[in-house]
Amino acid sequence: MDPALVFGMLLRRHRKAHDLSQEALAQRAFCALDTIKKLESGRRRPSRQLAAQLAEVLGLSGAERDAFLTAARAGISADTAAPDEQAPLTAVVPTTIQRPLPQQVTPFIGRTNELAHLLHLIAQPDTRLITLVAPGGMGKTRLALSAAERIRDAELFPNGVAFAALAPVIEPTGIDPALADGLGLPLIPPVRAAHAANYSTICGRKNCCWCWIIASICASRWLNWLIPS
Amino acid sequence: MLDNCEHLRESVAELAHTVLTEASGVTLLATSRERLGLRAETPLPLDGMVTEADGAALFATTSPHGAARLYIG
Repeated sequence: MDPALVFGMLLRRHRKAHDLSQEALAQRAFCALDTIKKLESGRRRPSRQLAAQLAEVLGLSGAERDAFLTAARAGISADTAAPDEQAPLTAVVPTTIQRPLPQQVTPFIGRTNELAHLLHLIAQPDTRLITLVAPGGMGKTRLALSAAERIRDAELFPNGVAFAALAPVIEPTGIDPALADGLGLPLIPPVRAAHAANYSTICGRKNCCWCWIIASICASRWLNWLIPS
Repeated sequence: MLDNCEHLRESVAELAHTVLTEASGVTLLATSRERLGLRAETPLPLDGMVTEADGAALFATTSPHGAARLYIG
């Protein structure tokens, strides 16, 4: 039988034994639902990292874990493995934002109340997206940057603060490169979806750091952008 | 921080939605002439008025004669 299908059936059996839906497994293993579907139907092979992540989620240990990992990679030689599966993760992407915020050439004056209010809002754990709304020339960027500087200095976010300049971006396809630039990353996506789980592990905080975004966005967006199908 | 989103609102909203869904530890601060229109969004409108204290600070910084008091009627 096709080794991919053997692993798919094994995965499905372990998943059912844990009474997990495909969605629940995908969520816990930090991968896409589609990935689980393809793995179970033998249309895709897992990377070593993903296989290990799945084994952990499924609570496998000892001989059962060894058998699972062996089946995951059965028939795949080192030569045929995708290049992304061979590269050490920590070597390609740093876990804190490297690019500094843009310098403000003149001191920030005024907007004292707004700045305080903005900082208060950002510090709330349930605030996820704040939009400073005003016509051009009202000082939105200055206020936002001033807040960003204070947040950076206070180390409110352990992975850092990044600035993406969208003003010069003309087409929507330019958003991802602008984001990559702001994060100080190379334009060529260094990661694939299978690595997402590893990134969250590297950061020590599952599913809550910017590396996760990069991994998932790279997979779903940058790859599409770089390699038009 | 996503600066000057107004001309790409729909695409940025889509990106923001992805980020907010995928990465629970990330907070986004956007600047735009119009709000992005997401349910999770907290819009913070800025007006053109500055407080008296802000005005005084601005005047003190920019005036060659040093500090002065700025009255806003």
